Amino acid sequence: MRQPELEPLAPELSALLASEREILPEPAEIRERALLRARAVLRATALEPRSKAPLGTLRWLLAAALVLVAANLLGAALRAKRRLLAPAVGAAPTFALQSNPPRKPNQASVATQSELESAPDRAPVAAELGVQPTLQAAAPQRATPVIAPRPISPVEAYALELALLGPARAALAHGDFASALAAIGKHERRFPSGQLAEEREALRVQALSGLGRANDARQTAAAFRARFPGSILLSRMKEPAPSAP
Amino acid sequence: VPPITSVATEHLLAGALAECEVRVRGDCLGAYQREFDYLCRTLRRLGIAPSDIEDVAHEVFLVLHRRWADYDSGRPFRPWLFGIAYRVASAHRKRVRREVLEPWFEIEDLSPQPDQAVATEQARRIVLAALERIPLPRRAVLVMHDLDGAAMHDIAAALGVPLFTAYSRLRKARKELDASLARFRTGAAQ
Repeated sequence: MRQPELEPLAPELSALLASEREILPEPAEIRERALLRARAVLRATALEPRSKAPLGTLRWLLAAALVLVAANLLGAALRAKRRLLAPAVGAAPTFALQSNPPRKPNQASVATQSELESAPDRAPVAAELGVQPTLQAAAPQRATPVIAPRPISPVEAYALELALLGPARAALAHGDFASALAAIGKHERRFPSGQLAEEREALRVQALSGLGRANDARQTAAAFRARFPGSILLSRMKEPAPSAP
Repeated sequence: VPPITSVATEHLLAGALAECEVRVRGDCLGAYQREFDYLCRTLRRLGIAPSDIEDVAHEVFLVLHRRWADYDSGRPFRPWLFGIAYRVASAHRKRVRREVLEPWFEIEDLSPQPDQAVATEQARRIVLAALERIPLPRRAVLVMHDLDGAAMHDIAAALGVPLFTAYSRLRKARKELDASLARFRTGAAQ
């Protein structure tokens, strides 16, 4: 597509605008306040539960539910009409009706339910975060469809990782090193190279040390040093004491 | 066996998790930090009063953060940021029903200034005051093109208008800027 041509700016106007082109730095206190507020937002959003379905998904689900109800009502009305008409019209119409392929009960509603079930499913993420998904209660005793797991977003993964490592932190704080190690293992199985792998390994060193497994702790610390040479946790980590003979 | 770490776990992990959070969302925060001065100046050019700049900049950050996944890193960042700032500034101006001219735009003296820095500052104030007389949709195109040096197709994309509309707005905005400056000059001469 040919672009329209622009006339050059008048020299006087161009000179005046040139003075406004330079971006001067804002006062340091304004910048600091703004960044503090921005960081607070980031922290708050990273820690908030992510189990709520987006508004768009809710709208689709509502629409699907309305279709389901309408289809059920229509089916019920048709069945009632058939029952009313059958004695009056005699054999021929009955034959005509029976010649149609047998209709599965609630065919329309089954189809709509399967549509509902094929919607992006947040249940696995919600379940791992300890949040009850709202859809399960709405559709009891339905056939379990085979659904490919939806890949979770980095933010959801981060929330999951936080949720998995939380018990490890709490157990360490209470001196329950065995439980901490179990929680750490759970995180490792789910997110071997997750966003919090570094923090997990630091926790592992502490848990092993707390259990008195000094050699394991030392080896884990060495592996940590090799894997995360620039870690801020490394600078705070003491050399493990030599194990008792 | 003595503990292997020297500080309390809670404090250690709290710091580490904060670092991790910055790593996950760091791009958004880093971009905001890098372009903070540009953003503040843009907001002033779009007519936001200095006293409101901080709050409006934060509103821009909230939108930036929410829409960060939409940003195409192959495209220049500033036009995209400008698009967000423009929408937030428009909404803010509607909200506060600001008058066209405000006291902070008043130009006290248009005579040539002996000191270069003072003269430059005076020129910047004149430009801001003249810009304030141009309706926001056209002003946005002029600021992006003639001050930021953005390409016209980036401007059209950022503002969500057809390319020819962007050109048309720019031509009209330049005429309005010229007329606005002429008004200042006439006022100064009297």
